[in-house]
Amino acid sequence: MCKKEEQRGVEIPVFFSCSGCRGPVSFNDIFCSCCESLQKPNANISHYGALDLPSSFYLTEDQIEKAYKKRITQVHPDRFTDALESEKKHATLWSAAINKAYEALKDPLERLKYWVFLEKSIPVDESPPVELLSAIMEVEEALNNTNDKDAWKKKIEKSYKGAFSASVKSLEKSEYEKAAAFLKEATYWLKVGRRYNISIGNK
Amino acid sequence: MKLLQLCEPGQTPLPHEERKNKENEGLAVGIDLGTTHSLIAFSVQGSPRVFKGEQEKPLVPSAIAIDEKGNKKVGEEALLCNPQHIIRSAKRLMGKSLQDVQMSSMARAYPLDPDNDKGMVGLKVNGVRITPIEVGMCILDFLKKRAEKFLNLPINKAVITVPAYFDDAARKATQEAASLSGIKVLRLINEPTAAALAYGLDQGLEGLYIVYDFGGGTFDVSLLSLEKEVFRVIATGGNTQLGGDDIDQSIVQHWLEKNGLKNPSTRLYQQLLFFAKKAKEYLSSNKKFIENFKSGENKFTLHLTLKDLEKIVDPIVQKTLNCCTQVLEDKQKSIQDLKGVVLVGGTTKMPCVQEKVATYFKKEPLCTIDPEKVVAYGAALQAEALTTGANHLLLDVLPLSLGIETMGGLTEKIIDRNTPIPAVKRQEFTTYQDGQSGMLIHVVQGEREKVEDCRSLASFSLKGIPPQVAGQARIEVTFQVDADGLLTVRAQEKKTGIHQEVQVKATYGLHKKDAERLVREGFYHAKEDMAKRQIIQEQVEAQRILQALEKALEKEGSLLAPLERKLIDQQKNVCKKLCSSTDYQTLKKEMEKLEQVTENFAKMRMNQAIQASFSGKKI
Repeated sequence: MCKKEEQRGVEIPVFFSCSGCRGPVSFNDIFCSCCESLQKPNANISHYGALDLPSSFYLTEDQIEKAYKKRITQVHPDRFTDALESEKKHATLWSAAINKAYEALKDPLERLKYWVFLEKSIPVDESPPVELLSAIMEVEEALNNTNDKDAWKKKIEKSYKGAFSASVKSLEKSEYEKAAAFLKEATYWLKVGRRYNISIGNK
Repeated sequence: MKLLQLCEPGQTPLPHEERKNKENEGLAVGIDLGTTHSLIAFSVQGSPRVFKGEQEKPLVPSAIAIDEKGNKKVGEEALLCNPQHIIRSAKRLMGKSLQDVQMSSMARAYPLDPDNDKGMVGLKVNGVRITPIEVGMCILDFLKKRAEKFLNLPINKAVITVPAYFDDAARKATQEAASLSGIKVLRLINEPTAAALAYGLDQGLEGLYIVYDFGGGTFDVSLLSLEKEVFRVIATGGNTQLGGDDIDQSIVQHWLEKNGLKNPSTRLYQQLLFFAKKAKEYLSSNKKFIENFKSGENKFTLHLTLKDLEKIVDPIVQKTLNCCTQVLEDKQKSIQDLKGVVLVGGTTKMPCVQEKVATYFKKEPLCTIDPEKVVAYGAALQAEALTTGANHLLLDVLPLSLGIETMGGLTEKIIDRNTPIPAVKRQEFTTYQDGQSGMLIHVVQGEREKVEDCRSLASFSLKGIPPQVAGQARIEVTFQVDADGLLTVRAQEKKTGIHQEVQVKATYGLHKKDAERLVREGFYHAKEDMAKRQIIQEQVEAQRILQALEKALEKEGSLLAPLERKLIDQQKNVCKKLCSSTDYQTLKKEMEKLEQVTENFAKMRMNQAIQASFSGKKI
């Protein structure tokens, strides 16, 4: 699901002064088109912008890996050991932004959470969802008392996967509030899973 | 029309014509500054070699000695001195306080100077005080001279390796040691990463690898994903207080117990240590070690069988394997996912260590490149890459979490360990009391929850917060970790915009007295170097700016009226001429003039771009 293209089309052109040749550099450019020096990253750049990925929550691991490698290869400070002082600083900032974006997007659950936040500014925190309190208490109690942990582990994994795919479905229908609630649930199951050493296939 | 050739942005190793100039600046080498041994290597066109000493020995013992007259000796020569005058394994003390050392088991291995309670620990030999940084400096200086003698060219830049598990204080101390010896650190890289680079480039390894780096004083483990051109560290772990030295000490302990000795003199201990090392080496190819030992009144036979040694080594190696398990678990990987295991460090030369590692990983470990040299090779390769441009890229992670102290002595983590670096993270904090005008920011490193269990890196206070109700102020703390793994911290009051760049003073940095002494003793010959460096930096900076300007003139010079163009050209030529002179202050002045002269040009270009974008034209 791509962000509407026209939204980008009407962007008011904003130019910065290049730190090398002082010429105009447009808002999202990494390098000056005239003197090729590395520019300062825009402080508000989105993770998608940092990795030069299409704004979408459907991304494959492969896509993200490739984008990450391409970008980090361009801007890593090792590429600027004898460049302008300003470029060295920018290289560190760019690399930091790209590393952060990569860490946030490569995990599918984190990616969905970021998407919801990016689109509708809905934060998904880690506190257990109220509606689920009784179900949660039941599972936690069972895990602490039973010997047959495997059955409960499967249950947790199933709950996680259910919540995860429900959030994807909500997002497809652009129901962000709903999606956020499912994401909260999924986050919670993942957390419980980690506590009891259950590795949940998170694809 | 002649077309201009342009390169892919960022992928060009910067302009070639300047390479010539750079040779005058000195060469770049790779240095493995080890706990027990150090090496210096140089790489040409991807093939690194280690500089050897007079007796064809590549390894320099990381030891210095100070004789009765106060003269310092380094390396092999130091080892010939009175054992009580020798300082070994000073690397283990990097960035540590006296208290840190006294509390650990290693206290008795060093001639500690009890006279300092703040800052980094000091040592005292023959009445001469010396810090671990200075020991590092002496060794680096020795290595540098060795290479300079061989190459007959000055060396002033290096890639220096550090244990992956080194904390920020130890990294900064290493950098300080380098700058004292007149070496600019191009990059600090982690030892296992350097080794992986050497293997990756030499043998084209691809896939998930673990580097098991067991040296004389430290143990490091790194999990890496190797690809054609990107060598990426995924996770790292280790123990900076675990190494081959511990095996030697355990052997000595074994002998002491066997012979009923409880409190050996330092001299006796050192002598036994010598035989312990000998026994360890001997047992690599034999089954039994026997030596008649005599020292003063003590006379006994030193006995060690291979079985005894295995018993001694076992718990130590087990500790290293636990670290490996931890690293794999952290990233939810198993031994089956690994393509191979790379062995690094002198201690991995022991057959019984190799066997245990092979059994644990269910794989025959790789040690085709000499484990004692591979780190230096990697460092040299990276030094070459950073000075002449290369296709490969090394990506590393932060080894230990960074955080700050919050109420109740608890640590709030700001950047988690194994985060890829460079990394920048911001977090907001607020005041605790009404009208609070200052805030103490205490930076710590480590995984533990309580501040007292973590390493204290630095603390500083942010002042001038406007008085307001508790919880109203918004203090944004920014942590930035650069590609060397070094941290800088900034704090800012957001609401009022009071911006304070705070000089962070390292808790265990060089003690003020030591810093002053170094200046007095003229050790900061760095002062001269610094002036030189300043000149080069100004020159390079000016050249870059001139290049950028020339490109701009080429493309958009038509915007200028002839007279203005002439003025700019004139000033440009003045600056160009000055670029090769050492009078950097004049250069700086003229560059400032150039900036003024081109001010209008920059404005015109900006306006043109804005107009073009509004009219939908492409620029």
